Amino acid sequence: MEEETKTSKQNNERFLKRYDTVFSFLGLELVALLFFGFGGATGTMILKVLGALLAFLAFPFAENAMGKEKLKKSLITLIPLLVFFLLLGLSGFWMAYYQDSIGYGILSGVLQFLGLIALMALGFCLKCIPSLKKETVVFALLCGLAVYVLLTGLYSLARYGGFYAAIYKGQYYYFDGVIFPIDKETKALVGFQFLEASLSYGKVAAFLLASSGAGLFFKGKTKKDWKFYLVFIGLPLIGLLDLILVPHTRALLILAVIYLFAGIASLLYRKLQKNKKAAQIVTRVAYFGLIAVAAIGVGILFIDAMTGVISNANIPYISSNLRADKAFFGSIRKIIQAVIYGSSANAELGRFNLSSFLFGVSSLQSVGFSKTFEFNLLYMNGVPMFLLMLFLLFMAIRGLRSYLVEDGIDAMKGMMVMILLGAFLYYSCFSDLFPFVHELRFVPVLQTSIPLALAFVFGYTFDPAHYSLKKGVAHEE
Amino acid sequence: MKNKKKILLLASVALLGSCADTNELYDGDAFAGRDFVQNRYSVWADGLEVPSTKTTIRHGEHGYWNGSGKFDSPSDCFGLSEAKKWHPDYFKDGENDLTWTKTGDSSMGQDIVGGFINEWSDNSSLVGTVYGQTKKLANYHPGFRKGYLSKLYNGQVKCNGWSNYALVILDESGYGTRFPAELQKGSYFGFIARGASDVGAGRIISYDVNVTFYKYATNGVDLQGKSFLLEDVKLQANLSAEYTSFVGFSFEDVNYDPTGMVAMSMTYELKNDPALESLQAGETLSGNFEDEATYHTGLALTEVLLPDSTWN
Repeated sequence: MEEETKTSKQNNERFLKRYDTVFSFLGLELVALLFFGFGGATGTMILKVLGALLAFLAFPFAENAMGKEKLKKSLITLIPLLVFFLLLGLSGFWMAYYQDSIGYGILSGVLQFLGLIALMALGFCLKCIPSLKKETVVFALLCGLAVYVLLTGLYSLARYGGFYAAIYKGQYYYFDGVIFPIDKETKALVGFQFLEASLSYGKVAAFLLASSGAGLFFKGKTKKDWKFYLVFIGLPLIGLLDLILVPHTRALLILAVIYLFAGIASLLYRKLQKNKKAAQIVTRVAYFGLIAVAAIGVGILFIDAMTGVISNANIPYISSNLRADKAFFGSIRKIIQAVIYGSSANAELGRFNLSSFLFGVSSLQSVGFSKTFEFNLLYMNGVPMFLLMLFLLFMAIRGLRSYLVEDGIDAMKGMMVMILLGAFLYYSCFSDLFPFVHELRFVPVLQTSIPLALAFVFGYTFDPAHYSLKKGVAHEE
Repeated sequence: MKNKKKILLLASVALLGSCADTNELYDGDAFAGRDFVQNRYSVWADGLEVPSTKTTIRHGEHGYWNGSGKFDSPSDCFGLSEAKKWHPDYFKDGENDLTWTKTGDSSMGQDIVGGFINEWSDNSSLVGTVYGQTKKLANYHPGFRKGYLSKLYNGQVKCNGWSNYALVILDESGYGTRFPAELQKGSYFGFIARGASDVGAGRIISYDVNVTFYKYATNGVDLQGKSFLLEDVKLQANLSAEYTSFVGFSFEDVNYDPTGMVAMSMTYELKNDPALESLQAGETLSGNFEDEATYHTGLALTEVLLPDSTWN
């Protein structure tokens, strides 16, 4: 019996070794195409299905690396995330959106769920392929982004010229008799055509590419040759250059914050490496401090939406920003009111609406989505999902921090974590659900290809041990 | 090999330097400011100052149509009912009867889906019901969607509260433009306009409107013009920008083959403005915005149409 198990295991390993290159290639090709946004919405749909198939076929790698028991436990760790992904497409908003074709709506929701899970699983399975190096994975991710950025960047350069947002600031052009500001748009590759899109939508790939460079601060002790640096500095530079040539100043500001954060974090890590207790204290203070800031911030926004205490207080900039419906905080305020009261009429009467509170606003007459992914999700899915998302975000921060420092820091790990951090910050500041300038097309963030590719990256960094609540904040090294 | 590299490099530089999308930019309030005279659009494309043969067209069933055909009261002077009476086939889309606005041929109702100034709307749902959206030039060639003059090709026939953003204000010097393509086939020409002035209440103003079409001469380089003088076109002014009139003529009626048309221009002469009678001593009124007259009267275009045309 033992002999049979040993032979079976050997046969299994031989089988996996034969196909590990194939799965590595196919998996990385798929995620590169996702970052590239190949084929637009149709391409994304096809890549989701292919991703699911690949993840299913690559599952033996994970099983072989972790063992069945550990794998089962990791699935249990993922239950909150699975619930979150499942309920994303099922809400008051989406029922109203697909009211004319409920079947298509359900299918769309299921495909979205499958896509996110599949890409996460694929990332996790590819990590379990011993012959697949992290450098190769990161290279594929960055290449996918870089090809997209180069194509759109060069085309934008040809159509607008360099630094057009600064040179032509306050200038307008006419299209269909409507006046459009030239400094707020760029060219985006959608499917196989270039379309005019908002800077927020069009430059997300460039931003992610540029963010990845901050991961190099986490360079380990292993010396690398010049080719390594040429590639892994050169590719993020393409993203940075693309942002500079607009210039997309707000994104560059957020990018500077990311680089500053990465610099300080890596410095702190190196200083406190030998003093684990101090490292734990710093980590816990930072982590719980972040939770406190987020909780207070969200609390203040909710209180103001219900009482107007801040928006009516005449605090310079903040009050006016809260009062203006289309301003950053004003749009968030409108969303919170819509979720709590269901409608502006109800808001004036102070009448609480349980349905919109729990399941999101079931009205297609948008109050005007905000620039933040989190509050747009609040609008579409309600308060419980919003709170679940916040919980998952903080768990992810914890898990990614553990991933980064476990077994020593590493530039490749750093680059992947910085891509995820960059995505979080970008979509928290620049989310645009109607991104196309010359057409009214609703483009929910999670139905685009980049979040799927990010799910892959997250899956690659995932280790269930990092998300165990029993271990406390910091993963014990 | 060296030469090929040089050519490739030059081509790349040229491509990167083309900046086609920034060729026509304006300040936000260009042609839409508070000063009526400053809102004049008087751009002439190169090569349009050429001699042209002229034909005069008079108002009538085989001449030009003019709005509702009623000119006693400014509030009656709008729409397309005269053209519909004389050429009902122009206002059919299959079995559908095309109307001035969503609510019919009255002045009430919108001719666009709706939206605020400077917000793009998808008006495709109005194609097949509203005349302007069905027959606009932007439907026939994508080049008509770009540029300041895309205002005249977007199917918006009335103000809809957009004020000067819906209008192209002309003075007597007019404007001239090259089309983005060459006309292959067309059956009639029209424009939608109202009068505009910085003096006086609602009234009917008479204009002699001169429309010139340009084609290439046999040498393929120079342009040749053919002008049509529409005598005594009556347009409402200063009552409301919702009262615009559809003015036009059939090419068959004027014995003109529009094939090969690549440009057009429009000028006018102010024939009669009732506001002249109410001027005080020393005050003057003119259709030329460059002179020192006290007041001015212009022509406010909302749409230029070459319906059912094909372009190359």
